[in-house]
Amino acid sequence: MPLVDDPDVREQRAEFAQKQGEYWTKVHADALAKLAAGTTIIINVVTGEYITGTDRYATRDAYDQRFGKGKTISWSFEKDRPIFVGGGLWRS
Amino acid sequence: MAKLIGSIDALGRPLLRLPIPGGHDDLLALVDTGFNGELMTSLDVARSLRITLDEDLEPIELGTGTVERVYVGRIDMRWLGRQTRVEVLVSSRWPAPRPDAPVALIGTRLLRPHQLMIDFDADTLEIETQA
Repeated sequence: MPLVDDPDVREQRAEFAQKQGEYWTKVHADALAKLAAGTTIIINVVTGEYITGTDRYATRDAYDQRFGKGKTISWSFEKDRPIFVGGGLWRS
Repeated sequence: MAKLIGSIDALGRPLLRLPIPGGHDDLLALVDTGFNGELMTSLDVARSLRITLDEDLEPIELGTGTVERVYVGRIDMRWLGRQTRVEVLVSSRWPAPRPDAPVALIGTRLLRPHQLMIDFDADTLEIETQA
């Protein structure tokens, strides 16, 4: 879904995406555990369905093809490869 | 061999002007070796660059261990002599920059497989492709 201008609504949606994304990540934990490190995972936070792939751009394209570009709210990450900003000193 | 030249500012920050397509002004970016993504900027800058953003969010971990969430977008730009598709992480919580302050972060994923050389004595920075 395209971003809305209202910052409060945008923040609510972002919070929803994070909570649902983390929820579905736990629900699918067993299946996701079998994936190789670095696999891109994109979760449709409403339905819980997800797309995986080794190339993040190709995975995003596959996700858009399946669900429609800009039609969903999604939560994505690379397995065991968190994005650090400003160090990531604490868990590395 | 392509090369980008930046500098170290008075606050000790390694900075680089990123050429942006579409007639936009160059982006003043901070080379952040503690950031392992490609490019990160604010929502205002992303909108000014006409980066299409959807409700696609991703977690990032700050140096304190705090987990934040950012939007994910893409931009096609010239990077070290090649047209390159770059993933842009976009924060809606980035404060409004002061004049002459960097408005983007360049991360190590964008630097790979190139060579980054910083001379803190001469206040110079160079990124160049490997021969």
